[in-house]
This record gives sequence, C-alpha cells and structure tokens, in this order.
Amino acid sequence: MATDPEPEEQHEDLLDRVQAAVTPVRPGASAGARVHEALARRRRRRRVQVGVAAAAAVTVGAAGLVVVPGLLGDDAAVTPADRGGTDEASTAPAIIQGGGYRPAGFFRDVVGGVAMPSIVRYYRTTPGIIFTARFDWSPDPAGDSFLGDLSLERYRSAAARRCSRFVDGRASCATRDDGTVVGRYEVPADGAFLAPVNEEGRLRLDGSTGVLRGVTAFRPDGRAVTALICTCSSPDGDVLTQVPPIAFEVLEDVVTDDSWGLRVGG
Amino acid sequence: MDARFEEFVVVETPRLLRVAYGLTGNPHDAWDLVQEALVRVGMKWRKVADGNPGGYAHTTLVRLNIDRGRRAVRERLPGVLPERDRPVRVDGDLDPALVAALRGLPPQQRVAVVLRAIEDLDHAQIAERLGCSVGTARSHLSRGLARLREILAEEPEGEVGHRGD
Repeated sequence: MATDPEPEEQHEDLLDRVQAAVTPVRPGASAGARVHEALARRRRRRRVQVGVAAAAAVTVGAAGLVVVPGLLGDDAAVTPADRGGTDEASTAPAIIQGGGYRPAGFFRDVVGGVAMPSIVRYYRTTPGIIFTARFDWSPDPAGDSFLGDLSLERYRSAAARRCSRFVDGRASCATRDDGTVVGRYEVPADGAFLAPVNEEGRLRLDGSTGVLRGVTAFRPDGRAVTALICTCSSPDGDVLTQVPPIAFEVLEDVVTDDSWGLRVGG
Repeated sequence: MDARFEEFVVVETPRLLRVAYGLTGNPHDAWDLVQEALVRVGMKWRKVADGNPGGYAHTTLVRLNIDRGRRAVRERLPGVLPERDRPVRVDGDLDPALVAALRGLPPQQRVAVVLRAIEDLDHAQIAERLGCSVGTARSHLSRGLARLREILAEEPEGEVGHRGD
C-alpha cells in the first residue's frame, strides 16, 4: 500500500517530458500489414497445432529456408543473404530474440539480438532424463563481420574466431568445405551452461550431474546453431527448471554422431 | 479480415506504440509488444469486439511487457538498421536520457509513470492495467516519479547512453 505518496503535481514537468519523449515514435507504413500478416500466421499455426499437437513443430524447408517459431508466437522466415542472389530473396523479417522475434529487415543487416535456449524435447529414461536443446542467435553486434561484406571468406574467418572463443580449450573447431565451422565439446552438467554470445542464454541444470555434450555450427549464413544432449540425473528425478515452451527440430545436418543417441521425434 | 479489426488496428496502433516505447525504451521492442498485443486481440476479436478492445489491447501490452522483463533478457541493439518498410517511424529527436531513466525504474513503477504520462490514466485505471489494488498503483506512481527524478538528477547531461534508436 502507499505510504506517504508524493503529490503527483510536483512531477508535472516529468510527466510532460515522458509524454514528449514518446511522440516521435509512430507507426510506419507497413505496421498494419505486419499485424495482419502476424495474425494470419498465428491463426494458421493454431489450426496446425490443433491438428498435430503431438508432432514436432519446426521444419527445415527446401532451399535453405529455415522456419523458426519465436517464443512470442510468430514464425520467422530467414533466408540466408548469400544464397538468395537478390535483395528480394534475401529479405527476411526476423531473428530470434529472447522470446520474440525481431523484424529487422534484410538478413544481411541483422546484427543484434540474442536468443534464449529452447529445449527441443525431453524424455525420461532409466536412470535419468535425456533432453536436447538448441540455441539460435544472431551474429555478435560488436563484431565487424556483418554489415557490408558478405563474402564467404569473411564469414569463415569470423566463424572460426567465434568458435575458438566459444570452445575455449574444451574442444577443437573444424572448418567444413562450405565454410561452416563446427565445434564439438563436452562440459560438466552440474550447473548452468552459457550460450557463447554475450553470456546470454543460460540453460540451467540445477542439481543434476552428468555430461553435457554439444556441437555448435557457425554457419556461413551468419547463423550459429547449437545442439546439446545431456544424460543427466538428479536425486528427485526432476532436472529441468522449466517446461520446454517450444520445440525445435533436431539438427540432423549438424549432429552426426549416432552414439549420442539423438533421435528425431524422440 | 474483419473490417472493424482493421480499423481498430489503424486507430489503436499509434497509442499502443507510444506506451510501448515508454515501457521498452526502444522502437524495436516497442513494435514487438504492439504487434503481439494486437495479434492477441485479433485472436479474440469476436469476444472482445463489442466490449472494450482498446482496453484489452492496452492491458495485454502492459502485462506482456512485465512478463518480458521477468525473463531478464538483455539485448545489445545494433543501432539504426537500414530496413525498408519499417513498422515504426521515428519523426524527430528522441530523449535518450529520459528513456534510459525510465528503464531504470522497476517494471511496475515504469508502467504507472508511462500510463499516467501518456494515457493520463487515474490510479484506478492504472491498477486495472497492472492487476493490482488502487493503493498499490498509487504507490507505484508516486515512487516511480520520485525515483525517475532521482535518476535524472544522478546522470550528468549527455552521459546516459541509449542503443538502438
């Protein structure tokens, strides 16, 4: 309850200043269309969810089109700029950002944002819980890699640098012919695991023990994708601190080691 | 698409956007909030159309923003993006010091200040948006304004950074 509230009249100047501060911000020409498009997507997805509620939610389509559902609910279609060939083909409206998506224009100009980890799926086994997770994030906004030059070599260099920084002696990074730099690593699963961008993206494994094995692909299109698998156990059998809010696809093109037991549709 | 909903979007978006900008401090997050709030109204349009869809949208936006804050996601914004067909325009000079100071307030206090300043809501209306008692809303507003003044007084002129505008 209020205790000795100050008379708001004392702060009329502040209120006026707040009001003035927001007046320059107005809807742009595409605002209405974006709302209607987002609503149409939401309705389509709702229909699909009703029909196939138990199915995996995400697809990797043809021609490199990656469809990613944001945690706020809107799909984000991202076409890598170096595959499209034209501005139109490389236009993409989104990047994942901590529970939403960012309508950030050309994919090649998307330079900010981070993503929280999302659990792919998890299932109980004896004696523990196995789950897989994936991180998506945008390139480091502090780096020089994204605006302007999109050459593969530049990406390769940036990707190698990012991978090296990430694995930090825990593993090695290998470069594929297509420019993707892949790091494989194992870390103890007895705490929190941090995604390698700005120390964002914390996967908590409270109270659990075990090994978290992961692979991260720093792709030529500027995306970095991590797949993790953890064989963990805890005294009460409840490892995860939150129910996974969303499902991502298993990264079949990245995770190639069958011994990990990563299964599509698990 | 329902013509009334289209009209609703046209009419309400500017108001929602101003509030969202006050709450988030940058036009990108503001647009994300506005779009999500409007989509949620659209999904329930048949139920809310004959009631108070504007109130529903604003309440949704405020609560989405509080939920967003709870996720404690920090983001480094890259500056102005060369984006065509932006959903948000910025016509004029922003007030980065004020916006940064607003972001320094606890979420409920920020909501109370923004709703009073921009929407001129009274304590009862702020309480409704926040889902709290009138006394609590009054306290949030009072403390928020006092704290905002403190923050602005603490920050030397021109030293309050703001990314992403």
